[in-house]
Amino acid sequence: MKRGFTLVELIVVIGILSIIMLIISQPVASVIKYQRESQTADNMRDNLQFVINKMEKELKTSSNVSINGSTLSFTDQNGSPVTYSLNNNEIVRNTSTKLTENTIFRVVDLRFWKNNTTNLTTMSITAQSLDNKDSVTMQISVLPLND
Amino acid sequence: MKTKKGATLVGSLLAITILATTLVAVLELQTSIIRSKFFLQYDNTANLLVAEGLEIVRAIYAKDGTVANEKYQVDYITNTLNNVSTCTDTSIDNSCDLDINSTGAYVLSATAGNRIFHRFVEITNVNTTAIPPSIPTVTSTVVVRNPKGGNLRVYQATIELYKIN
Repeated sequence: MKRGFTLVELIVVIGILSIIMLIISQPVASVIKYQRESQTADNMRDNLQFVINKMEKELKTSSNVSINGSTLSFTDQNGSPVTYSLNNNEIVRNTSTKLTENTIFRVVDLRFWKNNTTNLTTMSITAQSLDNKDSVTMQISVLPLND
Repeated sequence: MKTKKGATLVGSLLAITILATTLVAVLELQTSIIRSKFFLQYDNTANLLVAEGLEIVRAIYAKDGTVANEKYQVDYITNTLNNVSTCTDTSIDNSCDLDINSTGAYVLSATAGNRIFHRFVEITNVNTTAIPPSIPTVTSTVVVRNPKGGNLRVYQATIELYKIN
């Protein structure tokens, strides 16, 4: 007659399996954590990329570009004045339209430079995730066609 | 009396192999996610720096009206093209390294070091004697490297240089 497992055997097997599960669960947990952090950082980078592309597109066809600290002013292709500035860790267009939200991530630095020899206008944005674990700096230079 | 049989050697080895493989697979997955995260976080910045490289050459070409077939290091402060033939996308030459300076901008690194971004632009197809004149081509290359070592990731874009009137 075939015997089943004894209680001791079952306890030993369950014990070994628990230890193995414990060992495996550590890397699995950190993979999940990384994925969650990556998702937040991805959203931040995508949002910044959108903002910088929008600014680049407008600046390319602009005129009368001027820079005052972290404020960029120019006249757009329709002749309307446009400003981009940093207010309360958010990028704001024309002092009223928020392009980023400080409840999602914080823009900690917005800077502009103009090379007076080549007319190249450069902008740089540095943003940080709310938990301060991720930070990114994006930079682009634009040669305004009508400046 | 019937003797109790233990696990066979083959059975034990099989079980150990399966468990070890599972463990290695999980750890490998974790390592690859961490590695790809490194490049992913610099993906957008690298693409923008590639575009910036092209724009810098366009601005200098608009100012000077002439360029030469050569490889150059550039940053947004650059007003003239300084050739640096030693920069490639497979081996890193520190003279093309970019670093965030005290004002917060990516510029050519003042000190040699193991930087993340490495950029150069290459101008080709300049032939001043050709009829009709050839259109210069500029290729901007940004190489992202992990300061801890490992593979390089290359980002590249090419445009033709037209004169802006």
